[in-house]
Amino acid sequence: MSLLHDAATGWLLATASLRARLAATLLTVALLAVGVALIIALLLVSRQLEAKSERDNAGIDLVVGAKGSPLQLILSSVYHVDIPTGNIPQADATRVAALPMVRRAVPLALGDSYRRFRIVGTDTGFDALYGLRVAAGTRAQRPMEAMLGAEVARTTGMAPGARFAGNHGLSDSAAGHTEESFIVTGVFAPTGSVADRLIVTPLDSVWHLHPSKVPPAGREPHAHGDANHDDADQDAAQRKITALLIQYASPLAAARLPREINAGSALQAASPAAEMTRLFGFLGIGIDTLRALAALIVVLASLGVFSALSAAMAERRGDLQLLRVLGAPRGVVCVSVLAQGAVIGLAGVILGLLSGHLAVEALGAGLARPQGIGLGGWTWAADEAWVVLVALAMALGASLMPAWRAYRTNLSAGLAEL
Amino acid sequence: MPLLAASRIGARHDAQDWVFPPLDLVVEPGQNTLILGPSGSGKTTLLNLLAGLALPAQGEVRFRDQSLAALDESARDRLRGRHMGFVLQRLHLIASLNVVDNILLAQRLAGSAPDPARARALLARLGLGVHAERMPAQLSQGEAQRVALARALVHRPSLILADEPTSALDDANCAAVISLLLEQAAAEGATLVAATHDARIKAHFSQVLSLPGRA
Ligand SMILES: Nc1ncnc2c1ncn2[C@@H]1O[C@H](COP(=O)(O)OP(=O)(O)O)[C@@H](O)[C@H]1O
Ligand SMILES: [Mg+2]
Repeated sequence: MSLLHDAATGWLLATASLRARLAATLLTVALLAVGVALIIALLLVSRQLEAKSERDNAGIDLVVGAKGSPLQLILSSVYHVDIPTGNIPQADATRVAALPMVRRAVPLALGDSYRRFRIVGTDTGFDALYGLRVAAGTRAQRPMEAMLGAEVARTTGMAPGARFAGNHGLSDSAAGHTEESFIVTGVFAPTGSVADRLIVTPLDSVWHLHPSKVPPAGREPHAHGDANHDDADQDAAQRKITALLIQYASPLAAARLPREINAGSALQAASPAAEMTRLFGFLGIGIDTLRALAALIVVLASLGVFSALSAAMAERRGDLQLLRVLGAPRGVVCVSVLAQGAVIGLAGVILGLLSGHLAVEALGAGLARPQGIGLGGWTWAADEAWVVLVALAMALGASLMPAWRAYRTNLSAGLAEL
Repeated sequence: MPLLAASRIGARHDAQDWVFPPLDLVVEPGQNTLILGPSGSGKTTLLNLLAGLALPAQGEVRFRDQSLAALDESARDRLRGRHMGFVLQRLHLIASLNVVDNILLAQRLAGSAPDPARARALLARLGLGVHAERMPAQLSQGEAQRVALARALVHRPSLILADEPTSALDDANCAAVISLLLEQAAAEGATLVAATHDARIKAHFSQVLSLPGRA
């Protein structure tokens, strides 16, 4: 009971002392909050980017496309953010798809867009890959029929029956296919993956629009009057696609298939997992730098706690001694200092947690459309618990020395200096 | 049973000479005592020993027949908090606590529940009723000293130790403060032991212990 009583007295003295130096207290709390918020935000963003890239991966083990940068191949055909490396003969793709090591192969023909949403020529294997279900209308079957991803439908306001003309290239400004228009037959249910922001059409649409049988992929900006457009008479053997998305029949394929394909002259095989690991490696350097900065801020904040408490101690040396004279046991005096560190630590961490999450939520809202990465602030990363614990421990640790000095407040001087 | 009994006590700072020759002092309840001596004669040192803030290098101090040296430090802290009140020369109040909280602090340190009504009644009695919510920095030195007196009384101690309570005051205030101290101590049933070099107040005490000072 007396322990509780002492703790209450220590707490009273601590809060009084914090209030008496309100400006310094708030500054220290703010500094700690900034550091914690930054770490939390980085944590949330990188976790969500990784989760997001996993969802967009959709279990694709390998992408086969034209030779060039493997990262570019992955970014363009899995994440739909970069220009494709080029096209490959459909005959070659068919040969790869028929290999026994391949469980599923989905062709992609890329290069056109509508209001910055990419138009993807593919087959129904694409639906299985991304778990796409028809939410409205019916699945597009014939050339120039189109399915809208959930977000495309929401943004453009189009519904089954609507017509639109695609643009060459992936931006609004490129020349349009004004002579030919797509008809929307259906809308996919949302998946949370990149497929929500795609327009899906049968492969034949692309060949229909590009009589050369060559999707415009890899040669943007594409202009009409291109030499290829004049020989309208090429046959199916000369058809080209942009990429082939592959799922392995067995894990063993990972060891052989990419090597076999890359050994051939015309095709390139790249693994999304490997390329993303490489990419996050690059990003990681930036994230690590920011994280180090944030850690530095937290350390600075702890030093702030230390110097604020030490300064307060120096200022309050007389007070502490008076307390001891009045009968305050060493423990009370010590607790009154520790509690100050704890209050600053808790306030800073709670404020930091809140503002970190809020910042990510705001960032997500700012980056939302149309190439949104779906960032949200109201999720928790497991590592946050560590951030909280470490920041609290540092604030408390910083108050240990001042608290010890308070504990050691010398009584031998007694009344002499009072 | 005497309130305070010191026998043959002596103190040394840092293995120097004895501060004063071995001395005896008995304070009965109600026997207000003045320790008188020039600056440096060891008055504060003696008060420290009587309060249990330091232990004598020789001899023994007993408070209500309890040897202070036989208690451990935290027990002496408790005893001081419970049974003694302090009025000091300069630093009167905890700067971060307001007037009422400064007074209530003595009750907390005495291990009893804070009683704001009693604190305010004491303040009113000392003419400080309107200052209850002020911070110490907003008080004059004299007001702060009277708040300290309220704090020294609030937990109904049996002994009030005052170190140089009047040295900074002119004659009129000196007389006023010393009568206030004695009167309030008597009203609360406490005995006053004061140390001073200020011979003006000698007449108010029933017992005077003179410290010679060094040659
Ligand atoms: N903490 C201390 N360390 C060393 N010497 C001290 C200390 N406190 C007091 N003294 C010395 O002890 C003597 C008595 O001091 P003090 O008790 O303060 O006298 P007074 O209160 O009568 O002025 C003085 O010579 C002083 O210098
Ligand atoms: Mg003195």
